[in-house]
Amino acid sequence: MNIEYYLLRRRLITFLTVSVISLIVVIASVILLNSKQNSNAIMEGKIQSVHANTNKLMNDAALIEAYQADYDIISSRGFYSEENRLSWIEQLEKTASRLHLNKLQYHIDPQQQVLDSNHNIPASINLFKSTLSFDTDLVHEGDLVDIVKDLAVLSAGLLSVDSCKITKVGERLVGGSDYNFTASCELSWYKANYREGMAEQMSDGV
Amino acid sequence: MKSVNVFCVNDNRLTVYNCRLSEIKIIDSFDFADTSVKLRFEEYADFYKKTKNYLLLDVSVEDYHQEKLPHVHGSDRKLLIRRKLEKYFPDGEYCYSTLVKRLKVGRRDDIYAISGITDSSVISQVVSGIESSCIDIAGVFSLPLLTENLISPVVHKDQILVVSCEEERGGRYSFRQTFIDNGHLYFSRQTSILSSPDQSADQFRKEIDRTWQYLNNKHVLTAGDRMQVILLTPPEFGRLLRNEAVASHSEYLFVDPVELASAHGLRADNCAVSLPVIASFFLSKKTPKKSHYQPKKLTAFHNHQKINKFLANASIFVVIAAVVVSVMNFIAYDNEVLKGEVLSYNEKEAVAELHSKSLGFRGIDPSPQELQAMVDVYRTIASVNSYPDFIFAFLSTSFANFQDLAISGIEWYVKPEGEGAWSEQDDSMDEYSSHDDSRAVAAGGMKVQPSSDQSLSNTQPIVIDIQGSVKGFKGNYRRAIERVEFLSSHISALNNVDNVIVTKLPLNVDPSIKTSRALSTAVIPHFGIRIFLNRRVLDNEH
Repeated sequence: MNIEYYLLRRRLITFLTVSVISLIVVIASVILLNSKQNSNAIMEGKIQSVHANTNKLMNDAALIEAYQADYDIISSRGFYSEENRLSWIEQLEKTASRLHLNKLQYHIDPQQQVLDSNHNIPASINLFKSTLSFDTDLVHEGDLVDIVKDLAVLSAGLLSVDSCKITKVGERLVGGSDYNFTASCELSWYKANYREGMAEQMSDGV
Repeated sequence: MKSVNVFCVNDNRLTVYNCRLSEIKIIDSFDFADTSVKLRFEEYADFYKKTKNYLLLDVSVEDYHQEKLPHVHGSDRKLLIRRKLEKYFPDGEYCYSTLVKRLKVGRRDDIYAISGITDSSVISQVVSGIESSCIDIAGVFSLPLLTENLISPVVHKDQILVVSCEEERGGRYSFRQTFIDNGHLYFSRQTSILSSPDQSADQFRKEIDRTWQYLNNKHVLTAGDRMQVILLTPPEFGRLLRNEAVASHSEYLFVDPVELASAHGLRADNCAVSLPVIASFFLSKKTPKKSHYQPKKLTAFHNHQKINKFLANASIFVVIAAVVVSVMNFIAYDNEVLKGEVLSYNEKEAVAELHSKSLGFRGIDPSPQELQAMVDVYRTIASVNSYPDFIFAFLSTSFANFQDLAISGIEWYVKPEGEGAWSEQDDSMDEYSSHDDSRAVAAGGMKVQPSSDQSLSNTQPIVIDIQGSVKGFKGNYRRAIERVEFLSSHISALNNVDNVIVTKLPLNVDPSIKTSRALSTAVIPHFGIRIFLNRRVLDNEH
């Protein structure tokens, strides 16, 4: 069939005009609707973000409630302070003097960072350990208890007894004084501090 | 209300009928001899453009043939039929074919009825006028080909001769004789006779006789059967014929044209009823699906009009669709605006809530996460209490009823995390170590006293090694060994003990080692016990 365009011209122009106008109207309505939907979606996102921040605040409040008291106690024990090796030595020598432990020998290793994964140390925490070991003669086994207690009550970090050995030696005269036991112990002083960069990251959300 | 126009063309004139509901009326009639036809026709052109139009041909120059064609299908059949049509009607514009029947004998060929207009000059001037006025013709039909449909309300034989009669100007009657054989047009011809009362009946009878003779010569008629002649005549002519003798070998069946029209639903109040009038009305109501003839100009114009109609419908559809979609979008937009207002309010509320809650958190150092991390680390380290007072208190309780067993040395350490409470390494350190309990017992050496649940703790236990001796030993090894084993089982029954291993007995009776002793030497019955504590508590001191 041969198409005679002059016979179709009027309807064709009408159809094209109507189609173009309709398309413009539809596209305009779709654009208008989409822009509003997008702005609403953005607003919803903002609200969700605000709610998330609010929830985080609530969680932080719960954390503070759960940990603040313990943190204060631990803080008062010097866990977060700088190492105070002098006070350890002073206390050790004071106790030795009080208990007449003339043979007491001690040495403290350099402080080292603990990288042991067994302690489950968070990435935000630097944990340091100083090892104190001593050998001494004891008149009574209670003297060992006193030495460790005197060190533990110092607000100079967290003291942990890694190992101890106490041996009864029987009746002997050493330096004019009687002693019944020899003891050797290895103790660890733990200190911690907070990594600055991590601290900022963790507190960003608040 | 929808109306249909039918342009009925005969040899002398064009009559335009307008059919609406059950009525038909003549809009105009144009004699081809009249020179003012064109002007008058164009007066109604706009009206014709708005309605559906058909062209009905009632001309004398239409020829009819029946052809036997081989029974083939598809394009071969089309080719055969086209060839036959070209043979009879070379110009090919006004020709039509339809299958009549298939022969039941011989090659079982198909019989086709072929009809066409040999001289289309009369029609061409009408078609030219219609085309120049841009009038859309939906179909072109032949009156003889419609005759079978028109007389369908009349009960008749299989073979009938339909005779329709119209009174012409100039005192003549125009007859159209159409022979229909089993529903298919066999032939049709037009004649005219004088409308003289004396001669017309006689001439009519002779015409019928001639027709019978023609058909009889063609062996079309059923032998021995009278030919049924259905007469659709004006009333006065009908009355005339009733009084005259019937043509030989024929029987007349007079049908009142008004009744036939009524049977088709036509109420003929406005014009005289004739076969073209009934055919025009029939076309307006029950148009055959296929147009009989398809003249190129009208068909092309009609096809373009169909495209125009499609475009018009498409335009309407597009407008409606656009309106519907746009309205839906605007409704949705309106809803989104309302939703936006709610969201805006909610956002302000949420921000205000966040602001009020965050006020108390400003300047907090350390942060809550830092608090938690620090405390957790502290708790992890401090979870194992191995202070001397705790160890001494535990041993004091454990040995309360064993004054005959003296402790000479204690060593304890915190077992590194990850090692079991009772490991192979522990065994290998022992002088009397053995992996087989029964063998160890038999040997009187190491004996394992597991706690009530045998599981190896993954906690961080404290390991206590105790060395001691049996007081007041008087050479009764059995008694001394029993006391040590009893101590071991006593300790292992305590809640905070994971495991107890006897590392040394007063006398080593293991069959695998060499045993020797001089009775003159004094014996000190030493024993050794290893205790695995499972205590994981923060003591009050922590």
